[in-house]
Amino acid sequence: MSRYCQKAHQQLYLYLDGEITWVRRMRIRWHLHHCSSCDHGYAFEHGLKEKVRRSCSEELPLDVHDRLRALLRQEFGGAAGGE
Amino acid sequence: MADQATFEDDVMPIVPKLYSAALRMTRNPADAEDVLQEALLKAFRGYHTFKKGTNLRAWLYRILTNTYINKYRRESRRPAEVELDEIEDLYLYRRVGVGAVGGASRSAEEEALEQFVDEDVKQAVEALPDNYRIPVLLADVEGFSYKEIAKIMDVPIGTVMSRLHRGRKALQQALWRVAEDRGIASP
Repeated sequence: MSRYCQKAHQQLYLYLDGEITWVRRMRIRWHLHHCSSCDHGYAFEHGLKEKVRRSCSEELPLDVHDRLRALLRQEFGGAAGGE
Repeated sequence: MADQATFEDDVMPIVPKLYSAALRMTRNPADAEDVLQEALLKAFRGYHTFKKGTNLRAWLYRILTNTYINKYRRESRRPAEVELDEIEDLYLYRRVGVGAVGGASRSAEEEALEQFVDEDVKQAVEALPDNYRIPVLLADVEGFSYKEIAKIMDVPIGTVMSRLHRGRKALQQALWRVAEDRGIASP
């Protein structure tokens, strides 16, 4: 593993989370372009992050939505009425 | 200063995402609704303290996270930090068998990930202790920046980064266990 690979490993999550500067981002892209081993590792981690996002997103059931809205309206009515 | 009269219009569009987060925090629909109810009432009552034009989503997630932690904080069996630090980078990637093939195509990663169904991932996320689960949810599911997560959880950015890092390692380990249990792990 070259020192570029090491750097790429260190910055993996910063890169995926969009938390590095443009210049560093470009350096990593350049490395990934030339190193298929790192490229595959990055692709896997990116895919996993996406998978977590999709798997953990849930629909709000309609009845829960209605109950929450009713609660807010009731609370707002109470707050307004008290003035 | 925000006006209570606009609270419903401002906040209801964000409620589905908040519910989704509450569900992953509490792990069951009844508790998720309870936590969300309590958080929304707190937010409503404190809405005059919210500065209009600042980050409403982050403000609401902060209230939700605090409500959850105050209501449900319990001693959780959590993996020792040292233990997690010993897990190598790309832990799961190296185990699911993508790396084995030298000329693996880019879609080989997708194929390897497709072995895991949504339930596997949810199970693995829910198996994480709060300290790790919350930053992983906020970063990966909700897309908050480290700075926003630091504000939501009221910890320094460095803490967010290390918890996120360890949380992801723990998640990969949990996923690998799921894979082994379901027999989808390649020998």
